[in-house]
Amino acid sequence: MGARPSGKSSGKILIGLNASSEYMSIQYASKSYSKSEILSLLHPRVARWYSRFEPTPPQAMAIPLIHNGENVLITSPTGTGKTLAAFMTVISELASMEDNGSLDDRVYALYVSPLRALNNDIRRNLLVPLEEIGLNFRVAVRTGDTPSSERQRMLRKPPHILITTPETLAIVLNATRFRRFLTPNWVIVDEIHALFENKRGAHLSLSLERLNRLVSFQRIGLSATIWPLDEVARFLVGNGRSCVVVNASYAKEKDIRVETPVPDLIHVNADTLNKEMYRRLNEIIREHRTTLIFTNTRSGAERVAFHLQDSVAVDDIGTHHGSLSRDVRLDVEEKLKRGELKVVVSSTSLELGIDIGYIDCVVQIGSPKSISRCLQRIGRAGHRIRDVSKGVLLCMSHEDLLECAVMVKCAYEGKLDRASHPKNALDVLAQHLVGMALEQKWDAEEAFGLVRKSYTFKDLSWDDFEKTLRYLSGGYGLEPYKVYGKIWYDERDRVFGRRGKYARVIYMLNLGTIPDEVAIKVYSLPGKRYVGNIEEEFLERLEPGDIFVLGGRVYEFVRSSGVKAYVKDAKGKKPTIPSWFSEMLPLSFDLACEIRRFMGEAFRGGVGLDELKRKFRVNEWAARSLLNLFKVEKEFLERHGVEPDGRSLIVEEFKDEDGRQNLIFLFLFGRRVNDALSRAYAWVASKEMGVNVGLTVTDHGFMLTIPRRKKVDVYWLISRVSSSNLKEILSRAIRNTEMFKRRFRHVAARSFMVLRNYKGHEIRVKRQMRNAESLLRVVSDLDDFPVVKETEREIMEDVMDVENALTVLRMIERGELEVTPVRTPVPSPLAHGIYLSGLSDVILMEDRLKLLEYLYRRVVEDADDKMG
Amino acid sequence: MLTIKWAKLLEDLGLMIEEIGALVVADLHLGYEDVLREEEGIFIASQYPKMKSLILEMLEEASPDILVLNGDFKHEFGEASLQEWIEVRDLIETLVKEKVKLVFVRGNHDNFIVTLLRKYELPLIQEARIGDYLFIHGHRLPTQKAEYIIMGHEHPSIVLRDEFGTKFRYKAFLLGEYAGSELLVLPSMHPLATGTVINRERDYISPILKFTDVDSFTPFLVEPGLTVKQFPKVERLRR
Repeated sequence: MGARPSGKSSGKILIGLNASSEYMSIQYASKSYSKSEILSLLHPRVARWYSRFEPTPPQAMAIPLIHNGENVLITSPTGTGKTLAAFMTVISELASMEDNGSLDDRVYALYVSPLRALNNDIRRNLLVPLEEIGLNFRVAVRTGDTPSSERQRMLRKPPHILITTPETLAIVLNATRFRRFLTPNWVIVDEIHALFENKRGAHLSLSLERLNRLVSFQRIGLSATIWPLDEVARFLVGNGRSCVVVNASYAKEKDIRVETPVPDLIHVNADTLNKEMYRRLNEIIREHRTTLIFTNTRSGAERVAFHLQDSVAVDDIGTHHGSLSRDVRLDVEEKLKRGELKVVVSSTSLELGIDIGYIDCVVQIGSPKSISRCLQRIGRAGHRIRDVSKGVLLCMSHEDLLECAVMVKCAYEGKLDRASHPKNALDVLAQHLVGMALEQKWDAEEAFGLVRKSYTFKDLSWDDFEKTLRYLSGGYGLEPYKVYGKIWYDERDRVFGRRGKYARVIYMLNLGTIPDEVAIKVYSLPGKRYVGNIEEEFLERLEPGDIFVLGGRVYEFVRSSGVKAYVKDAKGKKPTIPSWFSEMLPLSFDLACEIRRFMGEAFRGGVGLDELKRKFRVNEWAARSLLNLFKVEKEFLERHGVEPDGRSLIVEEFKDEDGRQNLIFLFLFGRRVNDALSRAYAWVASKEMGVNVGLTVTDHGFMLTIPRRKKVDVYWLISRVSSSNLKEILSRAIRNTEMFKRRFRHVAARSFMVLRNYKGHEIRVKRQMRNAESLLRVVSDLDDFPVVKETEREIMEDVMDVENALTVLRMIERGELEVTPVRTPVPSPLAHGIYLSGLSDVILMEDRLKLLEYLYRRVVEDADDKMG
Repeated sequence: MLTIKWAKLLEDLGLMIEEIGALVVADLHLGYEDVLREEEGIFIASQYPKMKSLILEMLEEASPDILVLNGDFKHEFGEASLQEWIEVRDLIETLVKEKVKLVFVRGNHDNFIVTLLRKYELPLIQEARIGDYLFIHGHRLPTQKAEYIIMGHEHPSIVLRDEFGTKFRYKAFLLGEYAGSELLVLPSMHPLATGTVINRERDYISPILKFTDVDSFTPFLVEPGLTVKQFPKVERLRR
């Protein structure tokens, strides 16, 4: 876990300890400069304008560093003046240039942010000071929505400050006529915490290296709360470059409370809980001017906003999430700014910094899953830096309560959970190689060197790099028809370049890392009430009668028509098919360990009501619920002869009404570790029993469902998976899962193997989907096919947390944790959540002959069921 | 492979009829990958090399006197593409070298190969009658009667589900009856050509299947390269 770092005073650049060619120096600033010191650095007119403000902590620390030419990463909460900190130097320098007439027609500062709406805001925020100071530089926004007339104008009069998104930057790099104006002195990357952990960030880092090849620039990164800062700094500047970190994360005070809306969360029925949630929400809304409510899912946001209409005027409510149209979202943002809304309900999009005006309280329903996210969300409250960020975490299950209580305690102790980033993503690489080939002919080794300057590709092997080149040039079976390659690659001379008249169109129209998902709206019959969205891919699998979980509720599929699906309520029935589309954000392993540590303490009698309220900031009811939870768990363990010392890993074994053995592993390690462990165990069981195994995975544990009256012994199962064979088992296990097919499709799209737009016309996702399984089968035969390899890597490294799964296995092997099977007639209260959450995936038998046999027996033996 | 009364169903998707010494394959759809590319934006290697080697292997093992290509040898694609021509010519030239009589039955996609076949003096016929066996593609009703009718065109497949609702799709041979004759429908040899899910749909492409009770047909599911397995009748596999 990360703790508050101690700073060193910033000064000259020190060469890092690693004396190899990869020297990297990351330093932490702690010196705060005075207002007069800062003003003395700025151009007089700019200084005069800035003098009306008191420098905020990030400004006081960062402005002189930026002025000095350092690469800087600033981390601080929203509303603390980060953006201005970044732009002061830019404005000041450009003002000097304007004065002595040396301001050319080119881009001097490039500002990149992942959110489009933000870009218009930034522009406004820049134009105001520029106007007030009396400066005449050109500021322009360029995104996917920018009309071509605007883009034409930019060719004639290039902006001095260009505001854009990561995707558009990659496009602009290949805009032959505009590219020559793109020679920035400064590159500012905003919301870097939202880019670091995913492929969007990896994509951006390659764009920056491509840009950097022809022009050197200073890099400034702006981030909300995230850890570890070293990594993020290295990600920002790339390999071999130095950076100073300005950590002003504690600039804003916070007041976070953990609550539950009922006196006893453990013994309450769902309807009462729901009713009381709205009662409490309404209370909070009434007490505050504007409340921002976060749910974890889009359908949740819709539902809450809908029900709030019972007590709040519909015009005072705004809903904001990614499935809504841009106009609707902009409208909500505008209304918020003008203070016209009493409450806004959002899933995640408002987490990204938008200057949205006055919010005096943030409510999070359910667990935000990570300390960073919790702080990022709560940090939206309190507009000005002196305001306290006030937030309530409203817990709706015992899992929520455990997570939130420990999360908040950690937040107050200055601890954060570790963020990780995707490394060596070959699909992202493929996109940029095509882009690079479009620019010119390349020496492959030089290109390799460029790619490796990106921190996310620093360990890329030449072998993988070359395989990707080969794949793009039409290798892997397309040899006789090399005309279908997007690049040509001469393996002997190690040179590559563009090929074909469509390479450019493919690149421009298919760029991007966010997978194309068509959202199918689901309505419940009778009455056609909207209940949520599913993916088109999921719809393809559905057959009438299938029962699945959506938004926490159970439904039976009736029929579909176009982009609409119709279901009927199936409350009380058990789901019959996996809901692998519901991939919620995972609880971090670090936090999961803290929670386990906390529970261990609680069992030893170490936690009382007062301490809970004080240290964990829980309200009376939440405190009592927690104590109740510990009591229930302790009783359960003792009843089964298990010592409640926090060392036991309980595995509940019970037979469901279909006669299937269900094993519920109460492994509180977070979803990413559980995704790994569960699949390893499931694969072993599948191999041994010759059956497909159903998998349910949550942050608090996982469940294996063994069909056909087969049974597996828990001790035997545990013995078959060890820290020495886990990786090997997993690389085989993941191949035969639905998850693999799904991720393969996304990776195939990113790798330009399956296009969403070819030769200028859009291709419907439905048609792409049709062949995913057979496509996968066909390419699986190929050796080391980059698209398959990247799918594996993505699952093994980004989705699953194999390293920490190994840690858990080692703890079991050393006896620090003891697996204890327990037989129960029904799932215990602790296992309930896992049992009800609906299947997540299926591990299929590897042996295709056995599989066919199995399906045959299923048809022949279950003669009464409708089979097939 | 699996033996039925009058033929052997091969796990490489071919059919061997000993009585007349004929090996039969159907629906190769050479050039299909071009369609995938142009219409669906999918870039995938040609499956021709794989199909070619499977056919050669089957020829080697079964040593038939006759090889029947039962329609849709190629996938018509507007102006025939480069890939199509290379592959079609290559396969014809390869097969011509094998010591086997070639019979090309015309499928609905086989439009431009007449001239090419003529070069090798190979006719392209609508229906091929060899002994008691009638070979047709299946996009039209047969004009002759025969004890056994063998067709392609439909690309039959069967969908099965496991306990957890996972769907598995298998190519299948279908054995049934049509107007007093025994009817066998061959699966498509092409790994990516989609077809009709026999146990889910009722709207068949072939007019022949429209005029018979497909529910009473017996499906033989194929795990390519591994096995062919007989399953209960189609009606038992419906939901």
